[in-house]
Amino acid sequence: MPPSATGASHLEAVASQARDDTLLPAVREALEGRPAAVESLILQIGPHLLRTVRQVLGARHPDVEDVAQDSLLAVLRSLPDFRGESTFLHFAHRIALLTALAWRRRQLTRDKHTAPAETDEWLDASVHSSPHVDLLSQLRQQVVRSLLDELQPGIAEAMALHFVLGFTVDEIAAISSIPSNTVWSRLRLGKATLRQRLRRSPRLAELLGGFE
Amino acid sequence: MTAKECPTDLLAKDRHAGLSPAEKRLLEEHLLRCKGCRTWQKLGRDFDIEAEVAAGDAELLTRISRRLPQRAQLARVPASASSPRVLGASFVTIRRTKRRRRALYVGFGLGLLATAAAAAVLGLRLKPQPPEVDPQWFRSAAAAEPREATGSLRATSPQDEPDVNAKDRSREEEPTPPSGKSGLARSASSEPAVAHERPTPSITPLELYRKANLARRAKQSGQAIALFTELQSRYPQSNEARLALVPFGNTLLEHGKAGAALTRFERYLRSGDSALAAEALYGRARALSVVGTKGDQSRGWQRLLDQYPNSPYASTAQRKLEALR
Repeated sequence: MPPSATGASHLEAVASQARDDTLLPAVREALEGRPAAVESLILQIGPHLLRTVRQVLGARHPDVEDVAQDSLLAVLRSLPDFRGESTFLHFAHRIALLTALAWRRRQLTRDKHTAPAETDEWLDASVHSSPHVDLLSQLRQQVVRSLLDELQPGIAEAMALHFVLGFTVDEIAAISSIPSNTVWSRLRLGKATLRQRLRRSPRLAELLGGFE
Repeated sequence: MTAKECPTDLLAKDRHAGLSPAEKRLLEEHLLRCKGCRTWQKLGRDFDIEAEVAAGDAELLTRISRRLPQRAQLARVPASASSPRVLGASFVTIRRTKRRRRALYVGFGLGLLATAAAAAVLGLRLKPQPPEVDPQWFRSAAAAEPREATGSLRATSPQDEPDVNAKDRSREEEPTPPSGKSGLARSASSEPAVAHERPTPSITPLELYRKANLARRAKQSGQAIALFTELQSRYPQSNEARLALVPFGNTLLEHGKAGAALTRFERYLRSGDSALAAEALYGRARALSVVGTKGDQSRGWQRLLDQYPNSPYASTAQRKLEALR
């Protein structure tokens, strides 16, 4: 949907969400160095960060716990950089996403120099109604995740925030401090790259049902 | 069709149930004619399923949050710190302090080992005819081993899982292990295949807890069950034994022993500990879904929802309740 259709009301809604952020008092207290506030923040954002890490790595990935911990630590270390342009939870989601994406890229580099990656055992457990549906779901996710590994960081971030985590364009613009039009451009570029990849593998494209 | 023309924003809002009726209609009409958006919609659902709360989440988050405040304490963040950079800087300090502490632990551990070796040599010289070692005494002595030795071992093995209950460990030791057969031997009837993997007599509750969790994560549920049973029987009063009731229940549940799992979750809930209560209630409700009646299941999920309406399990409980209705 073009930005003109969403209008300024969405941007205003995002700004309003940021103003009414219920986590702000805890953030301020944490910045003053109060351990109880840090603990409270951890408890409140922890489940959300875990969700994000799972979405980027896969729910059964063995490194979910480590990456979730790194994300939490990165969020706490970035507290002074939080400017209140989005809600703190959105800010934390973005940090967790970037941490998980960086982890995936590091892992890829490591795998190039060491043994090839093991088969994704953690993807085995079926969560869908049938093995066929489960396989297609895993394929779709794998295609998008490997695409995120290859894309430029800015494009990968916009794609992941939109399609993996489900943020709207205005939310992404607020979280990443970039104009909405830039987000739209990045999404368009990301989708174009995905289409190119699928063109190289028609069988996969057929299996997945096509990405527009 | 370009990215701007497809209402992918509506797809994103739909995932968080944020669509107005008009937007919903618009999206449905678009989905009927756009194959690409249908795939993106499926993908969104795939990723939402990936993000669903899983068994062990509360335990995992507790573990992580216990590790982080310890780091914060090490940093000694001053309460009056006014600079916004203080907190960020403190975590740099934490890492340096941790490195120094690790070096100290390693040094201390090596010193302790050298002392132990010297003592052993002296002991052998003084007693050329070694007396028969009473296994009971050996177990007691091993259980009462100095705390520093464990600390030094932990410090020298970076692959170790981070400490679960470091601050509580000093009061968790069980100086006198139960007499008679070990817990593992007692549990051998249920898990005969793993009985030979008896932990060494000097193993601490923390080590048992860690080993059991590692086995569980490695999907060696038989071994995990044996180790959890060992922990429960050897150190029944320890914090680890109490906390382990929840992962133990989860392991049993995954192993198809829902009845036994239910007992563990209920024992944990009766213990009065609240650290993993949400997780225990979640496990209990799942166990009831296997062995309970429809009414039991509803009550199980409702109890979880009533006691922890803001927990990560609340949405699952809500969904299950709706399905049961």
